[in-house]
Amino acid sequence: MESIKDKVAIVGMGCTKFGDNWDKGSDDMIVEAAYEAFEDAGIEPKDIQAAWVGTLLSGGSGCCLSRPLKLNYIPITRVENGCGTGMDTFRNACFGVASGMYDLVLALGFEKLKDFGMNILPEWFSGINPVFRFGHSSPGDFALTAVKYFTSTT
Amino acid sequence: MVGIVSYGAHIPFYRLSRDEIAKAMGRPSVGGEKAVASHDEDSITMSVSAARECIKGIDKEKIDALFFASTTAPYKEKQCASLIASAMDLKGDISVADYANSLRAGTNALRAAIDAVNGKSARLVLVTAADCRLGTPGSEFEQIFGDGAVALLIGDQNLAAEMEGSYTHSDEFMDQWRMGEDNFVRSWEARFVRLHGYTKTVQEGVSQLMNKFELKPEDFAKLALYGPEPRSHKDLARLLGFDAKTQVQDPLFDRVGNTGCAFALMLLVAALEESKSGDRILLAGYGDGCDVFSLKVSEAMAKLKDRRAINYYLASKRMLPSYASYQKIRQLITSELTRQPPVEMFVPVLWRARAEILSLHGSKCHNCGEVQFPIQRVCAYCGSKDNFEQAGFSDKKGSVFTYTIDNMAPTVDPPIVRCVVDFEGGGRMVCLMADCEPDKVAIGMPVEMIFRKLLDVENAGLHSYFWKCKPST
Repeated sequence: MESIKDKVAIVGMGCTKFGDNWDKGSDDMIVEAAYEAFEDAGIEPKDIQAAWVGTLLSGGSGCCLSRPLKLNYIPITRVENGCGTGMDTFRNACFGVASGMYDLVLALGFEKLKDFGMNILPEWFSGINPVFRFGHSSPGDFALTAVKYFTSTT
Repeated sequence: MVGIVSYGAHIPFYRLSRDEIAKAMGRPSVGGEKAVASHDEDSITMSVSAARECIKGIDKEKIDALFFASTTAPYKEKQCASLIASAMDLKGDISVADYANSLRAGTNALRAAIDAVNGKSARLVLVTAADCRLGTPGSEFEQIFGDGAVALLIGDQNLAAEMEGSYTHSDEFMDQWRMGEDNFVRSWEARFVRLHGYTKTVQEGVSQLMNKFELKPEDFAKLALYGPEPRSHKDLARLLGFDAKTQVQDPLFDRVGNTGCAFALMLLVAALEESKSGDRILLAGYGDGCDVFSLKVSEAMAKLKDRRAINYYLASKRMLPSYASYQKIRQLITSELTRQPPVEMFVPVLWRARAEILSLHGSKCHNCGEVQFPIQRVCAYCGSKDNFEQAGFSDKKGSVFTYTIDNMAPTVDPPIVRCVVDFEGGGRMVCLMADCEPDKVAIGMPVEMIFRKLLDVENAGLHSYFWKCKPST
């Protein structure tokens, strides 16, 4: 397998405050973070050749990125991979550059979990039959591992 | 010849002291405790429990029919017996029927089973009756009613008790009833009902049977008699000429309550558990008429002593802490759960997975022999594709690999106990645990699988059933 080491560089970065952000919608946070990154890189939105956008359940299709940023007529991939969504978004954006296909791409991740009105993860479609998942909670899922770990002697 | 081949019963784990009801509702207590079906139980799940015990050691392929009786069937329109048959993994071409509406539904189903075997349209018929009726909050019914289920296997050989004879008549009478949307059982005034309903009808029925077969009370070892409440039961038993101490089967009002159409049959099972070869037993069911039966116990009854029926379940219990906890689990009051997304289910998704969900089938790989749940087309152990047979998990013994006591996942009866269960012979699954004391759950605890209701699914308007585990005793 070939390595993509030293073939790709992060040239700009932006990040919003993490929190409930009641006063900000997805679009607000996307604009804030993206424009901070554009300024940091010294580029204009029209310079972006392709984009990858990652979110679990706060937006669908590449339109959730292109609509607020007006990134028109470029390919945009929406990525979802559970808790690994961010990492996977970044990884695929890097492949876009390492492959030689693009010179400048945007990787952006966002989430608006608190609008759903719960203090735990809302349901997202895991593909598992809901009968088999009934009674689960995310903290409970991790607790199953923890309880075994605490009593394990090896 | 026709008679009882085997039996089973189910009494819910939870019990409510009648003193708690009296305290909450400000009326006298009739004393003792009542059995309360939990939020994950209903007449279908209780029937499955009783029936599974009943057919232990019996070749499932030989069961020709399943009759389910209840006045509290979870569906007003939809066959419940077919769902029970799926949960029990019975063969597809069996004859199923639901018996409903009447307190006599249980004994009606028993008569039909006897007729089917006598008429040679079936050789082995499973009869199951269950009820979880509600009395209006604050009423005497609320105290008297209890929840429970019973199962009888009726056949033409290997009889533990032979049916000697029966009598039946119909008597149109409004004593207890419910209309379409009623949650609570209605009744007319107690004195009228007692005089012209129960007492008169059952006395007529019993005396007709005794005349027909030239029997007297002293010919019977036990009387398994339906009773609407303790006083009329006691009075009628005495009127019929049976001795309260030696002949009248304890009607369990103080420990279970009146279990509706399952009641007479549960008292029969209680009598059978204590019976010996040669005992003659009188069974009387009531509800707009009566069904009376005379049975003779044989030597084969001794082989059923290990059945987990009335005695087993009387000992397996946990007291509900208060009347409010009863109101919550029977959904008499709305209680706020933790803020959670609604669970959505879709019929085709449930249907495709019916072997796994209802019958608890996993798969056994033909290549490496490993067993897994749910069914895997691609073996998780060796990667072999479409090279398996279905493997049943419902009768397997398991042990707790790990667990969590979850106070966040929504339930009207917190906490949820969720486990990973490892099965003897292989296989592992994640499931909830029921009928347990949460602080006694431990890694390595032996468990067995039970059939329960998960929830009422709002988007689809249906009851969702699945399997849970419970501590093995």
